[in-house]
Order: sequence, then structure tokens, then C-alpha cells
Amino acid sequence: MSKKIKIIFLAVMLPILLFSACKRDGVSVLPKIKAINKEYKITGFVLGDTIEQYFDGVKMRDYYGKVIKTSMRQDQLAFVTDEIKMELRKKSTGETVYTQTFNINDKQNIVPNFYFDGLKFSKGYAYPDPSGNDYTVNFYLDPHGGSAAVDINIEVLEYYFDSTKPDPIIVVNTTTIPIAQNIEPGNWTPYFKVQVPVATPQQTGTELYPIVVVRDAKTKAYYVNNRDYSTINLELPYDGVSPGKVQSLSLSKIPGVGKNFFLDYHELVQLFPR
Amino acid sequence: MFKFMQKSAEPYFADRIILNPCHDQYVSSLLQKNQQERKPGCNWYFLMKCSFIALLIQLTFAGLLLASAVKSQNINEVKVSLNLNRATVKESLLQLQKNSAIKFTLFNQLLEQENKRITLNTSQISVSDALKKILSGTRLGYKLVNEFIVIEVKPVPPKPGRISGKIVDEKGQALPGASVRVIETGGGAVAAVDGTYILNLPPGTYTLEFSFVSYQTQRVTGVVVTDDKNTPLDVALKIDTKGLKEVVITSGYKKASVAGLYARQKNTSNLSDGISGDQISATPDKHVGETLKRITGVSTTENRRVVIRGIAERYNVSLLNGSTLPSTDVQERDFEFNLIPTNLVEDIVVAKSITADMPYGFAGGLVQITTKSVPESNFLSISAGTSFNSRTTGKDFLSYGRGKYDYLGFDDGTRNHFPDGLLNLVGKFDPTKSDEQNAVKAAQVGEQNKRIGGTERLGARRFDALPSQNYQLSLGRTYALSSTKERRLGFVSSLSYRNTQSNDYVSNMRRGDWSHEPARGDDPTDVNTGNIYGFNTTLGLLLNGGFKTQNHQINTYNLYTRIFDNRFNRYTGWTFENAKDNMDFKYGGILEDDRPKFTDLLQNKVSGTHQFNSIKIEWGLARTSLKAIERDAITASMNAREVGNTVLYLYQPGTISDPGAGPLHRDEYIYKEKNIDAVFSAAYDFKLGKTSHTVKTGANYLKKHAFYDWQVLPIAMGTNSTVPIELLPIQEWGNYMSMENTGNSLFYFKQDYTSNKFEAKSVNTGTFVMLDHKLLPGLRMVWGVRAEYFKLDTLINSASLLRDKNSKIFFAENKDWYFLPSANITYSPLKDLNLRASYAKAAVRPGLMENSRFSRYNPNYGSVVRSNGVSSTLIDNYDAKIELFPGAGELLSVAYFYKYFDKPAEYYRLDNENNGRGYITISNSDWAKVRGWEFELRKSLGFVYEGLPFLKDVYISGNLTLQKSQVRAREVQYETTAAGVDTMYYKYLKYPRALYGQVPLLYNAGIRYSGKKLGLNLTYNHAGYKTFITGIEPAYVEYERPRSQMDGQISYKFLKGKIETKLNISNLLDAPFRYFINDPTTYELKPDTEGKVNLEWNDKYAYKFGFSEKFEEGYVDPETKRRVGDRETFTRHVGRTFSFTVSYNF
Repeated sequence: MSKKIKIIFLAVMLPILLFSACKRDGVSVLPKIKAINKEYKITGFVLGDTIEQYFDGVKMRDYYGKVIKTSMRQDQLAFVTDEIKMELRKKSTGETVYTQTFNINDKQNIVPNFYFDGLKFSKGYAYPDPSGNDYTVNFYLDPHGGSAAVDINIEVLEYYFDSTKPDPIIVVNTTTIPIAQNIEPGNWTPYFKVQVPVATPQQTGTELYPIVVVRDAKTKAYYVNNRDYSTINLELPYDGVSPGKVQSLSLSKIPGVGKNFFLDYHELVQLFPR
Repeated sequence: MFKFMQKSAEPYFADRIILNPCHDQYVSSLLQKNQQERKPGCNWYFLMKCSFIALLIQLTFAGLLLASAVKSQNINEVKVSLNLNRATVKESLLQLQKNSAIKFTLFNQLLEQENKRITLNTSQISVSDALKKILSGTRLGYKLVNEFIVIEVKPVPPKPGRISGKIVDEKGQALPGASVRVIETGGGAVAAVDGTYILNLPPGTYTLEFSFVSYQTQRVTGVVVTDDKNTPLDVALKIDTKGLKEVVITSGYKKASVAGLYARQKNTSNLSDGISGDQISATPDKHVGETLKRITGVSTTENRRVVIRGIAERYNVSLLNGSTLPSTDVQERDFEFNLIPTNLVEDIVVAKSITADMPYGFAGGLVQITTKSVPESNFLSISAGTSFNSRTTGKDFLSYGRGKYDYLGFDDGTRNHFPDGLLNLVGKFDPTKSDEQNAVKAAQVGEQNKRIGGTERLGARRFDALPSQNYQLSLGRTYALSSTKERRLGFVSSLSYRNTQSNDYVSNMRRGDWSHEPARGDDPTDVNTGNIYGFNTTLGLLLNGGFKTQNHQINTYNLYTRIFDNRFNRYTGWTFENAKDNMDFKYGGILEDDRPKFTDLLQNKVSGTHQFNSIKIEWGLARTSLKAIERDAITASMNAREVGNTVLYLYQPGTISDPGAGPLHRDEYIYKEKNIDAVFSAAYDFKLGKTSHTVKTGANYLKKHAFYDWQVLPIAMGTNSTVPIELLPIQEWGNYMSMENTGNSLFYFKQDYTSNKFEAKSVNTGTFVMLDHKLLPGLRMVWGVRAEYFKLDTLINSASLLRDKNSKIFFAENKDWYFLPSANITYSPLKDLNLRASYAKAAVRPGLMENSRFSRYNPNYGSVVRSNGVSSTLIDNYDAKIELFPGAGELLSVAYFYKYFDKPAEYYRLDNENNGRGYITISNSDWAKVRGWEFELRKSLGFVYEGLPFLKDVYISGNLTLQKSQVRAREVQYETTAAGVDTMYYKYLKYPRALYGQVPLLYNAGIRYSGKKLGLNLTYNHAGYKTFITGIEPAYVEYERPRSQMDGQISYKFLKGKIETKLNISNLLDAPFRYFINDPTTYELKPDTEGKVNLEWNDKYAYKFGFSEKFEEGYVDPETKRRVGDRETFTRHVGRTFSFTVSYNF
């Protein structure tokens, strides 16, 4: 009988011991936010290698190309502790190229406008001053879009307008003025001088319009889909009017819907004003 | 020579000997062991042999050798002084020997087994008294051999054994009053009203004689009764066709036992399948929900809802001890079979054809669960078990705040936030307005907020998932009130506790309001996932009892179950309206849904069976009450907000402009149901010539009364409020509810558009006449008719959705009385062969809540489930079956069935609002036809090779169900006549489709070995495609993909079967539950159909090449990056469970 009592006692005690060990409140899944700083800013430009942004050791996002805000509240920092450590790491090697600590008491949390060329992190992008009235430009063709070299030319279109056609701009003649030939992907080119586009109409009733077009250096086909997709915004000089200008253009061929691509380009001198 | 023969005044110790009445047996077993271990050429073997011979001689002659050396003396006269303080038995005897100078023969091992401590300080005590005091309470005694006192183990009187069983006729019918006589002793017993008998006999081998008027007397020889064991013996008596001439059939024990088993298997007049308590114990199942799928033709939906012959739970009835149990879910006809632990189950029988005496109509099957009542012998058993789940145990377990007594199944008051007399604020309070403009003032709202209480319990938190644990104490007692007559009283009681924690991982959620496809087909991160955390504490108390005499039996069944079941669903992902992008919807939101439900179920039942000569009366009266309270059920949604350094998940309060409950609300749902159930029947047996007949008539009454109350308390915030909710943990929101600063407060925005109540009652009365004819030895026919009356009254019917406030429910029910004929024929042309055929008409009635206007969001369906009203379904059932019983416990059967449903009710997904997501409701279709085949096999492997006797204990079993169904669906159309009267009519669809809940392919296979100690069992269950929710076109029809589950069990008995251990592994293959919808990307418009209206889907669309109604994963279109393939709507992983149970039987 005593054995029975012992076993029953154990059977009763065991659950009680287990219950007493149970927590009631648990640990909250969501951390308590101490403060939200709404004046956080990060700007810059990344080439050659992707930059990974880490906060307190946790990866938040990748940067490549222009560092932009993709969501509405990205200019805020949420503090769970008094300090947040931000690291920018080079994706290919994991090497930390830049570190900054933000404090809960700082009014603003601003990351210096940076430029990363795939190897070196710099607080800004270096470019020369304009030389006289010359327009100079250098290019960076991103290797992500493919290995093909490109030509960049000014093409002066001679056209007339016919609203009855599906494409109302009817081009009757094109005058090509080269800017840079055979640009290989992955490196900044030297600065090229941009000529003032000059062309003479071949027909009456037509207009002239200069555009800058990127073409495959080998096949001379449009680099991206068609003429419209392969046209880039480059400021062209006007004879006797322009005071001289330096432009740095980064070009990137990005896959779009289906077999289509689009050309993403950024002018770095505008992104890094002096 | 003998090391214990030292000085004569010293005690003699035999170090390695246990001297007991069985020592010879022990020695012989040692001898055998030594022989087995013998290896020629070993020196140690020679030494061992010498030692062993010495030991043998010690054992056999020790007492005599020692005893013969001395002369006798009177130990009553010799007085000694003793000074014992907590001395062991051995120490006490040594002192006694020393002080008395009498020689003792002691055996070390015997003495060391005794834990008794003796305290005895006396100067004058006789040796005999001293010995009595020292040895009392031990297993030891003494005897005087000459002048020696030999200490030895007291002889244990043999305990009587038992023979018990059931005496039946060849059809398996019980034969109350049949007698059994023991030839050797002349004693005997008479079978009780249920045909059972018990004989208590000392161990030995007996011959029993079974007899009954007009049956041939049968003698069974060689019935072995062993010490304290039960020998089961069911006997089937044959009708004496030769009149008064006495014939005695003699057979051996085994043969008779087998025949009895045959008869019981072949018993019923209807088609049925089942599983016995013994078979259940060989499975890893903890509750009945897990067991049901092992029965032929039965499958379950997530171990809760039962599908029989591929027909959904709505058309199946579940009875516990003959009485219906209320549905524990108010919106689905769902009985939580996990209420009933398997170890209390006597058996489960699923009847698949109907006889007129069955009080409940069904189409698929009638699940009859019988719990134990009067035991055959006394028992006290205790069991404890634990289980580990591969996806739960040791991992994080998320939940809202727990109560102190959750592990005990009770609320500690922290969920009580629903005081009486709360003010309805709809149209009466706006926080942006001043007190003068509001009918309800801010201070009143603040006071109300205070009465409701704070938000401390809200918000997900992390716990450790503990292993599941279960304990059970069961007691059974039986008392024979007379030694000459059959009068027995007995009871079974059980107290059980179980706590289970589960964490089901949902790897894919694309139902209802969730995004139906990834924004880009090649983005593997664009998927909605979730977890279903289950915390379940079940307390069960069962007390069944009975009284049996030869002609009467009264049983009572009482079950109380308390369940605390907390389901916490937490899903993360993108909604149908806001698909993933790289901007503000880069991260998915979170939906949390916490439903703590406390359920009390109490069933009390009394039933009786009385035999008055040829009249048998059966009656039953049951009262069942169910109370299910969902207290502080919380729904909360969180938006993901990507800030610079992290992703913030913020709980969203509602606004006063939300038409419904808004994104955050805490609710209470109280459901109460009371059922009174009475059945009565009388059967009269009579003979016409050589044929025997039974006429049976009876009536039944079932009254149901249900109440449902709900309260919804949305948490809202004024439009201009600046409460910093992004910085406030939700647990602290209650601190901002005082309403001192009205514009900047949070508050409970109680909004009731109706009374939030439902009340209904139904009465179901029936009466029947049934005739049972045993026309020829092999022919039986049971036929009858049943008249059934049903009436459902909805007393209060509030609409829970604002848009349903003005809607009406149309009842198609136009008939209260139904006459339901049935007929079953069984023909046995050969001894072991049955041919059966049956027809029955049945009515399945709507549930009380099915006619409510209640709607609620179901987090696992991602949709609102709405009740719109259903009517009764009439079913014509046709069945045919061939059964072959090749040996004991063996069965081979083939069955065919055909059913016609008039107005079947089905779960539909509708999209009347045309929002692409729809909702789920129950609705009647026009008709359905279901036909199918069933096959079953159970066979011992003994026939394979006689040289391996263990093969006789190996059984293989399997069953297969093939089914096909067709439904003519209809769409309800509403119209207002010119006179302004609302009317409805149906539009019928010409293309038939499959019935909701149908499973066209279902099979089970298993292999089982049951040895004396070791048991092994492996089972495999496969269910094919199942229609989970039906709809008017494929985009709404959801299927469950085929699933196979494999379970295994190893059991072993120790200590002569007193301890039984079981290791169970369930879901060995870690099979998930997977659901899908045939996505519109898999079909295309047929030519020349564009723009044509009023075309059915089949007229308009066809599946693309490579796609069909079955699941096809498809591909990602490289051009559009869109997925072309079936939509995987829901994938739930439940993991593998390893459970270990130890039972001790006293």
C-alpha cells in the first residue's frame, strides 16, 4: 500500500512541479522603442561592388547605384538602446568600409554623402573643374548589364511631325557626332570633350533635334531595346552661350518586363555638388 | 566445505541464496542459463560449475543440514532482553540470537530485502514474541527445526484467477440466462442480461459446460486459469435443431474461443466497422480523433471532423454512449473528438447502414463511442506520459499573456474584460467632438474603459514550448452480490489530465484576404507564412457504473470534461489588396488572432436493459450541457514600417469610421447548449415453426436549446490623436484610456448594431417499428419504418455584420414529419460467409447555429465564415456487402454503396460582393449522388510458415475506399416582386461536380505483432484528393492534396505485465496538410466564348495543356514573371511526435 501511495504522490507532485516552473508573462516579441529620430539621412553613390548596410550587426539593405529612400519612413531611426551602430560592408568580401554610431540624443543622424567605387569608400565624388567653355564628360558603363562595349554619340535628328501616324515623329535624316567610342564596362573613361551639335537640314519643313544615344560598339544596334530607351540625358553645349561644364555619367542596363531592359543613368556631378 | 558453517553459535548466512518456495525453479533457470553460457575449454567454466554445484547443494539441503545439528527447545519460555533502536531486521535477529543463545539460520539476501526498522527495548521478552515483533510486517516467517530457528519467506497463498466472456448465439446475439458450469468443482454462473459471465477459480485446468434452453450444450476442455489472471472465453451456442434430445458438443479452449470471436464479428444486422479498445491500445493515438481514421472508410479533417465513406462530417453522427454530443464549434458541425482519451474507450463502432431503431439519421456513418462501464475485474492503474514534437518542443512558443492557472485549465481572471451594462457608442460618441455634442460623455467612456480594464494581456510574447504531459488514474471495481446468482455491481472511474503544446508551421497562406500569388513569380520571399500555436489543457473525469443481474442491467455514464484550448494564430505576409513591392510594402504585415476557449462538457446518462421472458426493454435518459466561453479573444493586425535601421511592426488601433470591428478588438463569445435525450424500445422474441422473429418498437426524443452571446470591443483612436502608439508597447495602451484628454486618447469603441444574441431550440421526436426475422439458419432480415418529426425555432437571431442587419433567412423547410423506411438482409450461405444488402432513408437536420446570421473571421481560412441558413437533407442509402471470416480475428470484405442526397448542404466559397476573395458559408445544393466501393482485409501471417510460431501473432490489415460523387449545384437569386415582396429562386447548373468533403481514394495498411511482452505496430494511412470547400467555379473550389501518414509503436511489458511502456512515433514521414485551388492561370477561354454572358464555367473555359483539376505546380512565365500553376493555398506542417507512456497496473 505504501508503494501505491508513493506512486500516486509522485504522479500528483510531478505536474505541480511542472506547473510551478511555468512562466506567465513571457518575453515580449516586439522590442520597446525608446525614441524615433526623424532626421536620419543617408545619401551616396555605389559602383563596382554592392554595399550592405548593417545596423547593430543586422543587415537591413543593399545599396548599388544611387543611394535613395525607397519607403516613406526610411529617414527615421528607431532606438531600442541609446546607440545604434551602422556599418557599411563591401558585399564581395564582407569588409567593413565605413562605420558610424548614432546617439539617441543627437538631433540629426546624418551619414556624409559618400561615393564608393567598388574598392574605396570616399566622403564625396572627386571631379575636375570645367576648363573654359568646354563641356567635358566621362562615363561609367556598369558591367551588370552585360560585357558589350558601347559607343556614345550625339545624333541630330531631322524630322517632321505627322499626327496621323502611330509614331508621329518621322525622322528623315540623322547626323552623328561621336562623343566616346568603344567604352568598355567596369571602368570610368577619361573625360571627353562634347562638341556643339551642328547639322544642316536636308529637306524643307523639317526640324533638327539633338539626342545622345548609346549603341552597341560592335553591332551599332541600340544598346537598350530601341532609340527611345537608349537615349540618355546629357547636357549639350550651345555655341557661344554655355559657360563650360563637367559631367560624370554612370550607365546601367537593367532588366525590365519580359525581354525588355531599361537604361538607368545618373549624373554624379549633380549628386555631389561642391 | 560450506563457507556458512562456521561456529555453531554464529548465524549461518547463505550469501547468494534466496530461499523461497520457488527456489527449485530458480535453480533450474540458473542451470539453464549456465548451460547456455557454457563454452568448452574455459577454465572459469570449471570453477563456475563447482561453485554452482555448491550453490545447488546449499539451496537444497541448507536448512536440513543446519537444522539436523541441534535439538529442540521451547522458544516461548526462553526470555531475553533486547535493546533495539531503529535496528534492521538482520541486526535485530543477530541480537536476539546472541542474547538467547539459540541458533538461527539466516539468509543474507532475504534479510537485506527488508527495509523495516525495529525499536524494541525490553528486559523480559520471550523469543517467540520477539520474533513476532521483529518479523511482523515483513515477508518473513520462522520455523523451529530441532534447536534451530530457520528464517524463511512466508508461503504466499495462490490468488484465484478468472474466466470471463460472453455467451452468444450463432448470430452473436447475447444469451442472458445461459448457464456455465465448472465440471471439476460443480460451481457455475449464469450469464447477465448482456450475455457476460465471470467465474472465479483457483489456478488450474478446467472443463466448462455451457448450456441454454433450446441450444446445444457445449463443453470446452483445457481452459487454463492462472494465478490472478483473466482467461477470456466467448462462446457461441448453436440452436438445438433436434428438439429435446440433448447433444453435448465438446471442443478445446482455443477452438471455442475462436468460434465466439467469429460470432461477435458477424453479429450485427447492419453494415458496420469498428475498432476495439485492444486495437486502439496498439496505436499511438491519445484521443479518439486520432483513432477514427484507422477504421475502414473513415478519414478525418485535421483529426477533428470525421469523413466517412468520403462523405463530410455534416452527414455523420457521433454518439458517446448512445447519446449525441453538441458541436463544440458554433459555426461548423464539429465534435472535438480529442475530448475523449482512448484509454477510456471500450470500442468505437461506425455503423454504415441504418436500421429503424437508430434515432439519428446519417448518410456517411454513425460513430458510436462506448466508454468502459462495469469492469470484468478490479483494477487500479496509473499512467504517465510525455511527448515531444519535432516542430514544437524546445522551440519558441508564442502567445498572448497567459493566466496563472492555464496549466490547470482555468482562467485566473486576467481575461475578464467584459463587464455588464457597457454603453453602445455607435453614433453617440466621437472623440473629435465636445461633450456637448456627444450623447455619451468622455468621462462616461473613461469610466467604461476603466471597468473594461487595461491592455496588459495584449501583444505576442515568447515562451518555451514544454513537452506534452499526460497523467491518468483509473479505478475499476466489481462486486459480486450473490454467490449463487448473477448479481454484479461495478464501476469505472478515471481522472485524466493532459497538457499539449503544439506549434504548426504554415509555410504557405494564400487563402481569402491574403495575397493569392507573389507579385513576381520568381521571388521566393514573397510568401505569406504563419504559425498556429496550440496550448491545450484537458481535464477529464469519468464515472461509469452498472448493476447487472441475469435479466436486468442498469448503467450510468457520467463524463465531465474541462478543456482550455488556446489557439494563437500569427500570420505574416501581404494582403490581397497590398501586394509586395520594393517601396512601402517591401515587408509584409502581421495578423495575430488569439482565441482562449474554456469548454465545460457534462454528460449524465442512465440506461437500462430488462429481459422479461421474451420481451426485452431498453431505455436511456441523458442530459448533456456544453458551455464554451471564448474569453478575451483578440484580433490584432500590425503594419510593417521600414525605418532606416529596422522594420517596426506597429499595432493598429481602429477608428470611429470603421464599419466593423476594425483592426484591433477583444471579444467574448459564450455558447451554451443543453440537450435532453430520451430513448425507449421494447422487443418481443417469438418463434413461428423453426423460424425466430423479433418485433421491436420504440420512441426517442431529443430537445436542444442553444444560446449564443457575443461582445466585441474594438480599440480605437480619434483621427487627430497624437498618442505615440509607435513608441508605446501595446501592453501600456490602457494607460491612455482615461479620456481626460479626449482627443488624444485610446478607448474601447463598443459598437453594437444588433443585440448580439442568438437563441434557438429544436425538437426531434421519432417513433419506429422494426421486425427482425431469422428465417433460415443463414437468413436474417431486419426491416421497419421510422416516423420522425423535427422542428427548429429560432428565438433571437442577431446579425453580427452590419451588412446582414436587414437580411432575412429564407427557410426551404416545408415538412416537419418524415417517414423513413429501412431494410437489411443478411444471408450466410456458408459458415464463414455473410452476404448483406440494405436500403434506408434518412434525414439529416440542420444544426441550431446553421440558421443564425452570425459571421466571424476565421484566421486559418483567411475569410469570414457566414451562416445563411440551411434546410434538412433527405438521403436514400443503398448498400451491399460480402464478408468472409477465414479465421479468428480475420476478415475479408467487399462493399458497394450508392446514396442519393436531396438538398445536400455543403461548404461553399461565395463571392457575392465580387471582391475576388469571397467568404465561406453553408448552403444547400439541389442533389448529390455518391457511389463507391470498400474493401477490407485482416489476416494473420500464421499460414505463411508453421515453423515460425510468432507469425501467428503477426497480423496484416488493410482497407480501401473508392468513391465518386456528383452534385447538381444551384445559385440562389433574390428578387423583389412588383408588389415589393422579397422572393428568391434558384438557378441550376447543368454541369455536375464533386460533393463537398469527398475523398475519392482512401486506404489504410498496417502490420502488427502482439507478443506476450513485446508489441510492434506500423500503420500507413493515405487519403486522396479531398474537396475542402466547394464553389460555383474552380477559382473558389479548394482541395486538400493527397496525404500519407505513417505511425509506429513499440510497446513492452515488464513485471508480469504490471508495467507497460509504449513508445509512439506519429507522422513518421512528417507529412504536411496541403491545400490548393485551380488557379485561373491554368485555364483559358474556349474559342468564340468571349463576351458571351450566362455561360457556365465548363462552357467558357478549358484547362490549358498540362493542367487539370488535380494539383500541378506549374512554372514561372519568363516573360511576365508570373506564376502559371495551381495556387497552393495553405500548407500546414505538424511535425513528428514522439511520445512515451508508462502505465502501472496495481
